[in-house]
Parts: sequence; C-alpha cells; structure tokens
Amino acid sequence: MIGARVGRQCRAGDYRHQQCVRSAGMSLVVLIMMVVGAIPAGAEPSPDLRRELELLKAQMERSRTQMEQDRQRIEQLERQLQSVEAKGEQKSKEMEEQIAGRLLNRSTFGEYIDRFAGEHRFQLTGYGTAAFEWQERTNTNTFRSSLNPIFLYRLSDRLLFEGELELKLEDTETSADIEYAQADYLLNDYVTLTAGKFLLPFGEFIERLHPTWINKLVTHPLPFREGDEGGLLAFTNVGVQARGAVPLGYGDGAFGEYAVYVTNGPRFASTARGALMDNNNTDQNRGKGYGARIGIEPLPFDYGLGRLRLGASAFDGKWDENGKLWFTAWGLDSVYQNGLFDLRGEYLQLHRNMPTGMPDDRREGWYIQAAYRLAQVAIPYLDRTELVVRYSGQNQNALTPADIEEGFLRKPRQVALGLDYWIAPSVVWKLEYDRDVPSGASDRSAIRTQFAVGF
Amino acid sequence: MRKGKHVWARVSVCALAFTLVVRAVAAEDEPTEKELFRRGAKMWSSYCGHCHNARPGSEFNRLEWDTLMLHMRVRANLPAKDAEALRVYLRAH
Repeated sequence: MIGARVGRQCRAGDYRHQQCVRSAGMSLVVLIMMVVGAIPAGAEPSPDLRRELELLKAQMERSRTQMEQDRQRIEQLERQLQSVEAKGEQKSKEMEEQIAGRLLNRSTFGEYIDRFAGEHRFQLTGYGTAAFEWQERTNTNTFRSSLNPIFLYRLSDRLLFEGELELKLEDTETSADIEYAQADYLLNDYVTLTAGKFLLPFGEFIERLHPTWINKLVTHPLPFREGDEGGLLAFTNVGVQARGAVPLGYGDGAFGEYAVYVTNGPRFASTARGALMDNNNTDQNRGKGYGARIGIEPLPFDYGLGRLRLGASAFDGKWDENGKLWFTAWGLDSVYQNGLFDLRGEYLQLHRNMPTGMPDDRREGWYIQAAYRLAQVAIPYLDRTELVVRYSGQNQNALTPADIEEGFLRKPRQVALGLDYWIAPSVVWKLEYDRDVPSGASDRSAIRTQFAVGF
Repeated sequence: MRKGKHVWARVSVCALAFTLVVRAVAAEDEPTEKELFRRGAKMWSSYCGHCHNARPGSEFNRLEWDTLMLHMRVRANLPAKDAEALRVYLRAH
C-alpha cells in the first residue's frame, strides 16, 4: 500500500525525485522489517509472502526506472529552457539594435536640410483654453477663453530665449500680459543662468503645473490663484537666477536640484494689511528680493518604488517704498507618483512686517491633490479618464475692505472634484465641481468645465 | 634656483600626464548615440510624465525637439546627461 502510493507519486513526474527515492527507500525498509519481523527466527518465508516480496521488488524497480526517466526528461527540459531564454535575449538585443540603428540613421537629404536651416531654431508652442463656469459665490455664469503662446528661440545648444504671453478675455476687453520673458544660458552641466522676467521658483505649482493643459483641474489651488483672485504669491518676478541639477550618483533618476535668484523683490497692491501681492516689474525701493529652492528626487528608476520629489523654498525681501519692512516666505512641496497614481501637495507661510503700531500680516496656504488614471479599465473611453480630488485652503489674519466686499474670506477652504478626459497627451476636457467649505460660513458650490490644448 | 626649476618641471609633467589620463578616461566614458537612445527610452515616461503626460516623439520633428528639450531642461531642472539622452531618444522619431 505504502509502496503503491509512493510509486504513483514518483510516476506522476514529480520534480522532487530525490524525495521520492528517499521515501520509497524508507518504505521498503519498513516493509522488509515488518516482513522479517513477521517471520519467526529460523522459519522459511511462505510462498505467498515470497510472491508478495517479489512483486514489491519489481514495483520498486519500475518506480526507480520511471524516476530515472523523469530525471533525464527534467534535465532535457531545463537545457531547452536555457537555450530558449538565451535565444530570446539575443533576439531582443538584435531587435533593439535594429530599431536604434534605423531611427538614428539620418539620410543625406535630412542632413542637408539641417545645415540649410542653420543652427538657430525658432519654435512657437503654448496652450489655449475654452471654458464654462457657473459659480454660486460670485453669481458667475459665463463662458471664458484664453490663449498663451510660448516663443522659443534657440541660438545654440547653450543659449535659449523664451517668453510666454497671456491673452485673456475679461468683461469687455482682452488683457495681454507677459507671463515670462527670459534668456537661459547653460554654463555647464550643473549651472544654468537665467535673466529676465521668470516664473518664481517657489514650490512646484507656479513654475511647472499652472498651464491649463498640465493642471488637472480647471481652477488653481486657493493659495496659488493668480493676480487679483485672492492667492498668496505673485507668480513672476524680474531678476537673475542660477539653477541646475546634480545626479546623486547611486542610480539613474536620483538627483538633486536647486535654484537661487535675486529679483526686484516683493510688492503689494497697497500698504494696507491683507493687500494682495502684485507684480514688481519696476523696483520701487533699493532693496532686492532673494530666494532659493532646493529639491531632491531620491528614488532611482530601478528601485521600482515610483517617483518621489521633495522640495523646500524661501523668498525674502523688503516690500515697502522706504526699503525698511521685511517680507518673508517659506514653503514645502512634495510629489509622489507610482504608475497611474499621482499625489502632490504644498504648504507655504508668509509674513509681512507692517509699520509700527500695526499687527504683522501673516498668511499661510496649502493644498493636497490626488489623481488616478483609469487606464487599466478595459472599457472604451473610460480608459482615457482620470479622477482628481483636491483639498486646499488658506488663512490670513487680515483682508482689505475692498476684498471683503468682493467676497473674499479670511479662511477659505475648498474641496474640488474633477474628471478629466484625455483626448491626447496634451489635449484634455475637464469637468470640475467645487465646494467651498469655509469655517463659519455657508457652503458655496461651483461647476466648471474646460477644454485645454497644449500645442 | 636650479632645484626650484626641477621641481616645477616635474610638477608640470605630472599635471600634463594627469590631464591626458583624465581626458582619455572621460573620452572612454562618453556614451554612444545608441546608448543615449536606450537610456532615453528607459527614462522617457518617468521624467516626461512627472508634471504632464509624456508626449510621444512623433509629435514634433527633430529640430523642434532640440529646442523643446533645451526649454524642458531649464523648466524641469533636468540633469544634463539625462536631458541629452531624452533629446536623442525623442528626436529619433
């Protein structure tokens, strides 16, 4: 019985043939001992017992032969598998070489065109939007549109001029503004010098996330609303900066980045407490603004843990005409991405010294945003959809009477729910529902939809 | 004085030899265009998808990618060698 069970296991081609042999051997020993024990000393085994023993021996022999055949078959399969793997790797390398070679080979005609066009390259890029907004708090029910052309002019591999115009429809007029206009010179692998009007390297949203085809929601987070919409920081300043990135040396994708800058400095719409921050295109005092941002991406690509970026920013300067009163700001930012999931957030704090006798102007703001792309859902159209949720807020200890009349709140809070449909990587239709949840006030809602194109 | 001249001569020779060795090593370490292409292909979706959706190489031509990658290297503060690998990869489409 025991022998039959063991024989069946080994015959079935079980890879643990050594264990099979061992248990078969043990079973045989036990059986023999049982048989020997049953035979009285000096007695001849009976013919039946002898026959059974012979049968067991034959079965054992067959099992051993079968196991040997299985072992040889396993070794043959392993050799075949190794051969297939080696061939597969070789084939993959050959295909990679072919693809790379075909793509990198340039035709003589193409080279002639390159030389004819010269080293200088002008390119027009940018983004545009068409939107509809219904907002309960401001009683808004309107269509909107905007266009932001970006001009890029590459003088050489080291020198680039770039500028962005912002053209917006406002009431009965079209407003035109220079979002940024700067020259970039790549001094070396680690230092790029920039001069002109540039987006403030404070956090991530201002410099990298505010374009409409990149921002996953229609609105900006509360602290980063632009212009006179109630945000905390001016988006741009005029000055010079040095910036760059340094690989950390322990894997591709792990690097640190920095930006240090000197600008005309901070400026406010008025000297009143709670006044909004304004652009400072012409310095009104002798003081300058000084700022820096450092960031780190510590996870190399090969770790397979996603992408993480941590950053810290600061911006200080004297804001009043006499150049005596300081403005200081600092902030933290973080982004984590893994596959289809994106989580990012920022926090900032501002402090404005006020003239003697007035309490200082303090403000803080934050947002946290999560997004998930439904790319793995095997339903047409749904696989191009992305779900977004954002919570943002700000606190300020003062507002101007005009801002209070406009409906601004000292402590606004907002939850925004978004649905994005990506027609192409840079073409998106967005739908957003906002719920204002300020402390001590009634809730207000808004529905917005926007079609944004990055070109 | 003679002794001083000998010392300076030896220092100069050593400095020259060191420079030549460093340059030789650096030249050996310069990646080929194919190696840059492979690196760029590996890094494309991670780097280019950090802020926005990664845009495929077929969206722009070779010359446009040269200009765009210079803009993106500044805007996103990309490490120089990684930006070059991305440029080689994207302009090859």
